[in-house]
Amino acid sequence: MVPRRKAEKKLNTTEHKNPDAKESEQVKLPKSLQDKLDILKPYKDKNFDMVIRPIEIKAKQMNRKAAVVYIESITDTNILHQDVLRPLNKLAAEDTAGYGSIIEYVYKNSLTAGNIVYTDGLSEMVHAVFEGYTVLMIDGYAEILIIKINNGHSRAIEEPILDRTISGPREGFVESLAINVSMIRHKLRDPNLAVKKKVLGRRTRSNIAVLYIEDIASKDIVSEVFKRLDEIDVDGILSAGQLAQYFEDNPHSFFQLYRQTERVDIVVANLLEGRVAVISDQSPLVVIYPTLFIETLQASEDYYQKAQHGTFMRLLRFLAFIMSVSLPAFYISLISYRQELIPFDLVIPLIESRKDVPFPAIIEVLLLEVMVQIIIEAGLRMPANLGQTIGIVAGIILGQAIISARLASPAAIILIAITTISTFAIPNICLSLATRLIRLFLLITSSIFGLYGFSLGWFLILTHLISQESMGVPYLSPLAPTRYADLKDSFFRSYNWDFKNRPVSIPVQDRKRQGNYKKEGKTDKNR
Amino acid sequence: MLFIITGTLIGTDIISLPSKASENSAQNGWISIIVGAVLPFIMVILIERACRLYPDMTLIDIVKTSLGKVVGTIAAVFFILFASYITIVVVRVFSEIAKLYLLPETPIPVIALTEIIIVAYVTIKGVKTLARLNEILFYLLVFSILMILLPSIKLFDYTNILPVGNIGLLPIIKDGINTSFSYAGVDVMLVFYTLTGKKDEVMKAGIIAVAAVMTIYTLITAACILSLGSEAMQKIMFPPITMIKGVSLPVIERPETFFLTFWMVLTTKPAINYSYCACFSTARLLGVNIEKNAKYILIPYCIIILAGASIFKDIIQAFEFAGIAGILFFIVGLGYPLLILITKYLFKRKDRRID
Repeated sequence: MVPRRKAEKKLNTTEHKNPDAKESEQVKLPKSLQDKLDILKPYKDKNFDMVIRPIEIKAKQMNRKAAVVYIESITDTNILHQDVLRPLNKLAAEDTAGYGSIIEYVYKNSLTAGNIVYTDGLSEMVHAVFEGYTVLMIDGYAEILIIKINNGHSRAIEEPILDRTISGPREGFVESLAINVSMIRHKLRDPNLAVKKKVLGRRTRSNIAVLYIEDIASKDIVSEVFKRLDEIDVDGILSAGQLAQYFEDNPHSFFQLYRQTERVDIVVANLLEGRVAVISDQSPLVVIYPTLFIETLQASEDYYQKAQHGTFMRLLRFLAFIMSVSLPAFYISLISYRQELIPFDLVIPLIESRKDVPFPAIIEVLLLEVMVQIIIEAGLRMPANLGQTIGIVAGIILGQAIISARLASPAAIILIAITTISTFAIPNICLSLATRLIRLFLLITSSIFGLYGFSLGWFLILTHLISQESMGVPYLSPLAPTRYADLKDSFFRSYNWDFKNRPVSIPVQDRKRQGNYKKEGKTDKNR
Repeated sequence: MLFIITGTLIGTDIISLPSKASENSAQNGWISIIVGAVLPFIMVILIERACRLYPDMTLIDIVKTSLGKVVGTIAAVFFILFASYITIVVVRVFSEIAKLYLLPETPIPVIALTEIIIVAYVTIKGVKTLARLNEILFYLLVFSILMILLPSIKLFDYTNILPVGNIGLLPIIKDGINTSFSYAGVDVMLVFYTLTGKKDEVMKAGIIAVAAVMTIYTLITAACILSLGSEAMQKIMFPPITMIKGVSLPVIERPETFFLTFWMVLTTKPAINYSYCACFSTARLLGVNIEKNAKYILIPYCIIILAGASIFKDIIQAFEFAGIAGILFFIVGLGYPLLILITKYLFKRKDRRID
């Protein structure tokens, strides 16, 4: 009875606070089966779907009581029956001579499931059950077997919603870590690809995978990522976006100093450039560190299409970014302060259309801006079938009514419409959210100081961008500090054979990316 | 490094320089700018030699070790005052130009305050941000210079620049000395030398920077002479702006306002660099960490700058004070490295005697 009481004592210390891996490492399981089941009993009372199935292991030499413990809703019961229970039943006929213990025999010979772990830790057992694994315990042995046959539900692989593409692969990540890692492995079969697991969140116990290519990624960046992950101590991690906020460089910045993507090909391309990817279980978004500002204006498509088209699209996107940030502010600073700067033929229709509007230009623009933002937000929350209604009501009826009611001038509506459309030409969702905020900031500075305020605002934004770093890499990197070698993949997309080396902006161990097989893109005729 | 120096050199001076350059030498003003670059070149070499003796020390520590504690502290305080003085002058001149062309109704202290906000923001972000900012603004600067020069080609009249060199050497040299004040900014090397990683390239960077600034100044002055003629230029305060006024572009009316909008941010660079110098040196003098205590130094510093910038009566007085800043720049740029070099030389001899 002594060991039993001991076990209860241990149980009491570990039951109320969530078992922490480090604290309870020393707590070993008792040998008796009944003691082990007693440890699990409080959990069984709380969870109706926990199954404790007593079995008897009958071998020729030994005869033991045993139990299989699992949670029905997250266990693959088919595999459980086929690979665990059936072999155990058939054990009777087999000869276990020559093995130290029956548990060793079961481990090595009878179970046909693949991934089995041998352990005798108490907290490991409890966690294993709740992670959906099946635990096999045999009377008389402190060791138990954790059979990893859990079954998570997951949706099918679909085209990602965030990063759409015309000419790239159409698969996006899903909410399962194992499937996500497998998708990356399918694309990247390098044996040097490191996939390190971490468990984060005291209660959710979410699995986090950190991926990098061992002989490319800079060791400093990898260790920095692990250092920051180790510092996180929260009760729950539900999404990669939430995780990334716990360890980003500057939480106060409008800009996202990490990259989030749903696309497998983007993650693989980034891993090949020596970056580190962090995948969180239950999240289709993957966080990539470090990232550069310029990448928020790039799409994976640029690399799949011809270089000329890619360059053109990138320049267009950059223009869209500039316009979406500064167009309303520029309009305000001209129309309220410096009408004389607008060409004479243009200023007359502008003033004419504003004649009957009762508000100052800044109020007019702010009103429209806020309204458009609300429409966007409403469109996002609406059921898909009703989305069109928003388009018609907001776009046609409201727009027409505002002009007839003389609440805003047609010029301002055109302006806000162009701005809004430009915002959606930005491929990065976070940057397009950031542009909305920066736009407001610029609107305020230019409504106070006119054109001077406009350039003042831009200067502050520029300074802010320059001062940011992503894992020690300057955020505005190929531009400031200027890395001439990287400019070929910035606003421009150079030819594939120009990318002989990996980007200079990101520290890596191995700079070389391509061989010198082509010099000018043409196949060598003398070969 | 290159960019910091160029950034500091080119400031508000650029728009008043052409009239200064052609004061005596008339159409040969552009030659006097090249002549004026000689002194800054000498300065770069002297500063580099002096700083090389103490590669890991900041200016404050250098003057303290080489000049002794008392004299060194006085020299350090003088340097800080000098840097603050230049910041004040730049902020004021900047505000005046902004008031004149962009914000006629806004009072000077308000404009100065907005600029000081920029200066403080960059200074608080530290030296890395400062260097990168100077870098990216350099490209914007080159772009904006092209923006002025290309459309104004239409206005060029080649007879304006002829005959070359007819007035003899003396007026050219006289104006050359005048224009060399406009190269104020080389002296930031004294502070930034310790902060750069690649010390071997400092000399190269400094010389390239001075050469680049010289080229830009010469081009602007030559363009002004070509388009406005030297007589007119001597009377105009800001020839480049007048020149751009004459340019007519499609769609854009009043190109000079657009140019100034763009230009305003570029002219803050010297103020930013000097104020960083002042704050960094103050922190060093007080023996505190600049990264941690930037706030406590910056806030009083900003108040001083704001008060200083509001003292001047009008733009003429501000420019007069800018002239004094130019002379001070000579004292600092030549005096400090020379002092450091001489004391080092003397101490070496003393050491030998003791041996």
